Amino acid sequence: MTQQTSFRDIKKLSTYLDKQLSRTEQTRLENRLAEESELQEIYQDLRQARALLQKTPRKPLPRNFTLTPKMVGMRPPVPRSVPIFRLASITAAVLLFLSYTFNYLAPIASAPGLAAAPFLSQSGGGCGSENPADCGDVAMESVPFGIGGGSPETPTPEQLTAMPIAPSIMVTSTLESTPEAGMRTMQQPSPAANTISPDLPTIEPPPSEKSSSQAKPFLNSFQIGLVLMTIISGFIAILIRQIIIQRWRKRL
Amino acid sequence: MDEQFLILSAQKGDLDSFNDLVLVYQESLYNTAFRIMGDEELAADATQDAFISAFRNIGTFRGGSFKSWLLRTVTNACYDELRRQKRRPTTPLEPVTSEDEETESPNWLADPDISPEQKFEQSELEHAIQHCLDGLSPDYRSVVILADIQGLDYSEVSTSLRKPLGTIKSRLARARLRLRECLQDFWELLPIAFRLENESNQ
Repeated sequence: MTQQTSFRDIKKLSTYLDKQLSRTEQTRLENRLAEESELQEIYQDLRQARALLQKTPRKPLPRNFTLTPKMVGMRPPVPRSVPIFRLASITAAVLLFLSYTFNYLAPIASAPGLAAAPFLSQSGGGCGSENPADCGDVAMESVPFGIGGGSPETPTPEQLTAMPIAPSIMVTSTLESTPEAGMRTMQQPSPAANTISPDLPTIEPPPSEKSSSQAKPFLNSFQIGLVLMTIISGFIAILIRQIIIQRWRKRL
Repeated sequence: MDEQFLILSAQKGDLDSFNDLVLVYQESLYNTAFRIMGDEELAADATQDAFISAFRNIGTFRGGSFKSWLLRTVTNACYDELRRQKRRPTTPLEPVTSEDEETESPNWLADPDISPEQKFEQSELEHAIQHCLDGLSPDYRSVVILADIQGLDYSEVSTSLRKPLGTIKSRLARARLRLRECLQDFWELLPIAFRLENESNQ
């Protein structure tokens, strides 16, 4: 490229080659091409290069580039009912859990004095030992009034009746479960306790409460309804979705 | 089928309509990608990526030349791949013959309709062109491929590459100038038929 043929000239030649110059510019360039041999030579080279490129052989396709639903991440359409059934199933499951938890915890929360009721029933009357004397001994140790210690503040039978017995039983069962407690029970027999134990009144739950706790079913009708709702609505949601997916695949 | 109808259907999510468009334009896109990348496997990957991207973004197509729009997606895919290669250069595995020798032209790509002589000439021409194209920077390469190999006009090239018309003209002139210089080295190796044709044109 000489000074006479600048890049501006080459750009014009390239544009002229594609017939994109304006009429006046085209006439002016054609006049120059007729006069300037160097410009003519460059023009011919550019024309040849372009012709060669246009003759470039087309590459055969290695494969088809059509798209599949998987490639573009397409998913089958979800009917409106599916999320509703799914939500119903989840809600029923959550309600079932909450209601079961509430039913289980409610007696414990509402009667702190009888918090040991489950323990009582589990340990067969609040004492692991067959010997009633053992039970009485430990019970006496934990009673806050110092029963059996020869204390002048020995409670009257009325006080004993009013006294919350559950904590003492709970402590009894807890102590019994440790070896130390067992040892203490064996090593420190308290005659005073033996003497006082016959005076202790027997505390028994009212008959109505006792029968209700024994006859209580595992799930009440409301909870059974929730279980059924969880299973059925979940099953329907899955079924609808499967049918839709199968239809969608067949269509493709 | 009407292209506009297919585009509208594809915009509504109809994959079958889009695949009809793919069948129309896949050769142009693959050849463009191949000339930019200079490798068949990479070109195939770039073409596939371009069509996937085009389907996902077809909602953004606002009319005009659909071919230009598709070519823009494929040139973008090629640029992305070239940038990735620059960061992590790899050595491509060449196909192997029955004698365990590497070959650039595997048997399954052979065209049974052309004679060995034509095949040789075609191979020489292609090699020369690809070598010279590879010597250009991607910006110049894509302009010359779209304008001279794909035959797009200036406005279509401008749309495809999102560059002003003046930039396209300048780049095309520079690219042709460099190709002219490069191809002169290969001139004697070019097919006789082609040389005779050019000489007669002069």
